[in-house]
Amino acid sequence: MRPVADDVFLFTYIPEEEETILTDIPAEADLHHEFSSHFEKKMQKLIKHERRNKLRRILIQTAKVAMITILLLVIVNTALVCSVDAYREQFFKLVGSITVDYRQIPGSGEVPFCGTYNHTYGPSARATVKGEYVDSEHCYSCYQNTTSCTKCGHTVISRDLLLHDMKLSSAISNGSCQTWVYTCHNCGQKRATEIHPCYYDPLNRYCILPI
Amino acid sequence: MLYSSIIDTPQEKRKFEQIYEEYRQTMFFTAYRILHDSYEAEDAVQNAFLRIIDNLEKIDLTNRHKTKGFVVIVVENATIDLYRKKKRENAVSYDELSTWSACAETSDLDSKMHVHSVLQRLPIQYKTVLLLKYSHGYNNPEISEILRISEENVRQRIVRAKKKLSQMLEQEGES
Repeated sequence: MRPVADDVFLFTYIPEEEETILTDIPAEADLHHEFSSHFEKKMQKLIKHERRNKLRRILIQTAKVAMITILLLVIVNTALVCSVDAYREQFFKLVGSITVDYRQIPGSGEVPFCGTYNHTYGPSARATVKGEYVDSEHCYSCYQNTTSCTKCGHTVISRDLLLHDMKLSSAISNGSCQTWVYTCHNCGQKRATEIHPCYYDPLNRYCILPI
Repeated sequence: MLYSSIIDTPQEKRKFEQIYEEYRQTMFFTAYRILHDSYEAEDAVQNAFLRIIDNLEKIDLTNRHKTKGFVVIVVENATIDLYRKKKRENAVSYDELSTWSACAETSDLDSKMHVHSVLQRLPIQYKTVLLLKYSHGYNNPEISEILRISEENVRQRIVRAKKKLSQMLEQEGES
């Protein structure tokens, strides 16, 4: 009867086969291969590379996976932002809005935003000051001055410009004036009011007051 | 070497050191018998040690015979994997590997029993799974961990091994 390789056959002959294989291998003491220093070094490193804390190993593995995931997301996102104009513009706007507070030197005079601005002060000679938003680009306010002429008592209305944008004010002038001069349209009386420091724009009759 | 395999506890470290001291020559002998190259054989031994670290809990050092058998199977498997990796361009087949198996044992063939001569000629990939299952008593999931192959692959190898063995026994019987 021919032998069949079923479980009974295998459980009988495979252990015997293993016995034969092991018998064919010389005893460890009879083998004298001199391992290379490279091999020994690596094996010693492997043996020393013991980690006692399994939790620590899991944490490190998790951190590695998280870092790789974040890195991949950053790469994909960067590629997307760089390749699509709309995303790129949106991105720079977002960065600009986040970092605006860090892009100016405190006390330099730059106002951190442009928009409706509630003035806490105004030119000292102004009896009535009305702040209003004029231009979103250069961020300045128009002051309406309503004061009386010292000679005829006529109400003098003028508009003064208060700049909050030092770049613009610097571009207009780097000097300063000590007085704000205006003329009463009724009697021609000229009045000088000290405003310090400021720059008087004679063309537009605006007083430019650095903050 | 990428240390994906890590020794977790001092006990495991001692166990690993003991295996290293007691079986590294045997492991080298086994690997060299297949590869005939000292440097490659050392590489194979290193790979085998990494696999042993992953399966330290399966090794019972009190049973030296079983431990030696296990270590030999692991190093044989690591060696074959290395061999196939090196020769990937030539796509080494099971038949080619079985040539080694037959050649290595040829000198003793005449003195072996009929069945053992057939088993010796069985391709080593098949013989490995049979040894782990029928001599060491591991189940398929455990064998898949030891050999780093899928459970499905283990199952297939066992089925094919049985089929091949039956064919060989039949041919041997006819001749």
